[in-house]
Amino acid sequence: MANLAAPTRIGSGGSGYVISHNIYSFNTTGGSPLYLHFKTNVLTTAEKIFMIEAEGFNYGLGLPILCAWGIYTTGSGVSSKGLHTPSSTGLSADGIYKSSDNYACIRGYAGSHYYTGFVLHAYSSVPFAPAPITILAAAQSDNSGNYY
Amino acid sequence: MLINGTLTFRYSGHNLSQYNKYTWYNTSHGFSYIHFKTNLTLDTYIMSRVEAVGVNYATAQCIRCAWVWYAYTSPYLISIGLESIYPGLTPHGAYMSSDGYVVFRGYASGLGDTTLSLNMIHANPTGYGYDLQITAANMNNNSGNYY
Repeated sequence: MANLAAPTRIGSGGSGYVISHNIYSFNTTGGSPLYLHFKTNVLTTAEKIFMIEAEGFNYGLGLPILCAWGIYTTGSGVSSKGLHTPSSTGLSADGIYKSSDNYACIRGYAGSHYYTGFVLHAYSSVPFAPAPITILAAAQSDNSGNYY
Repeated sequence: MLINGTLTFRYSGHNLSQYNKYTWYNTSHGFSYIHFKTNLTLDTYIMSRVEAVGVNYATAQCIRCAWVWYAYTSPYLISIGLESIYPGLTPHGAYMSSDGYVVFRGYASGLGDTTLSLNMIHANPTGYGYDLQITAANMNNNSGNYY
C-alpha cells in the first residue's frame, strides 16, 4: 500500500505539471447557499490554459459529482474554454471569472450541497501550464456572480 | 508530491493503471485529426482502455474521452467502444497501421493550442497489466488511416 501526499502532481518537472490530483478537498454539511466559489493561484496577467475538474459525491441530491471548467487566462482576464457538466451529476460547472485582485476563479452550483464532498484536480501541459495550481480560498455563497 | 513522467499503479507486479503515459500538445491551427500509433500488434489478445484528458483551446472545450479495443486474431482489431464525457476531443476510431500496429484516432473541429495527456488501463482478463506504448503521434486532416 502506497500513500501519496496530496496534491500528487504528475509531469515533466519544472512548470510542466500535466496532472495534479487532489489540489483541494471541499466538503460541507450545509445544503445552502447554492454557489461554491474557488479562487486559484493562477494570475490572469499571464497566458495559461488549464482545466479544473471536480470529482465527488452530493449526498443531498443522491448524485456523484464530475464536472469541469476549462480556463484560458488571457493576460488581462479569463476566457472560458468549456464548462462541462455531464448529466446526473451533483455539481454544475457554473462559471469562471477574474477576482478583483486578478486571479482566476471558478464557480459551481447545485440545488443542494447537503453533505457534499469532492476533490479538485487540475490538468495542463507545457507550454500552457501555470506553476503548480493551488486553491487560495473557497466559499459557499448565494452570490451567482463574482464573489472574490 | 511530484512524480516525473508516468504514475503507474501496480497490482501483483502488473501495470494496471498508468497516468500521464503520454503527453501531447501543439500550437498549430488548421488540423482536425490526431493519430496515435502504439506498439501493439494483433494476435496478442490485449484488451486496452486509453483515456485522453485535457483542454482544447480552439473549440473552447475540455477533453475527457476514451478508446477501448481488443487486439484479436489477425486481421481483426475489435473496437469495442468510443466514449466522450467532455466534447473537446471525440474518439474517432482505431485501425491497423500499414506495418501492423494499432493506431487510434481522435477528432475535433479544431485542435489549435490543444493539450492532453493519455492514461491507460489494462485490467481485463486478457492483456492484464500490458505496458502499452505510444510510438508516434501526428496531427493532420486525414479521417482514415494515416499510418
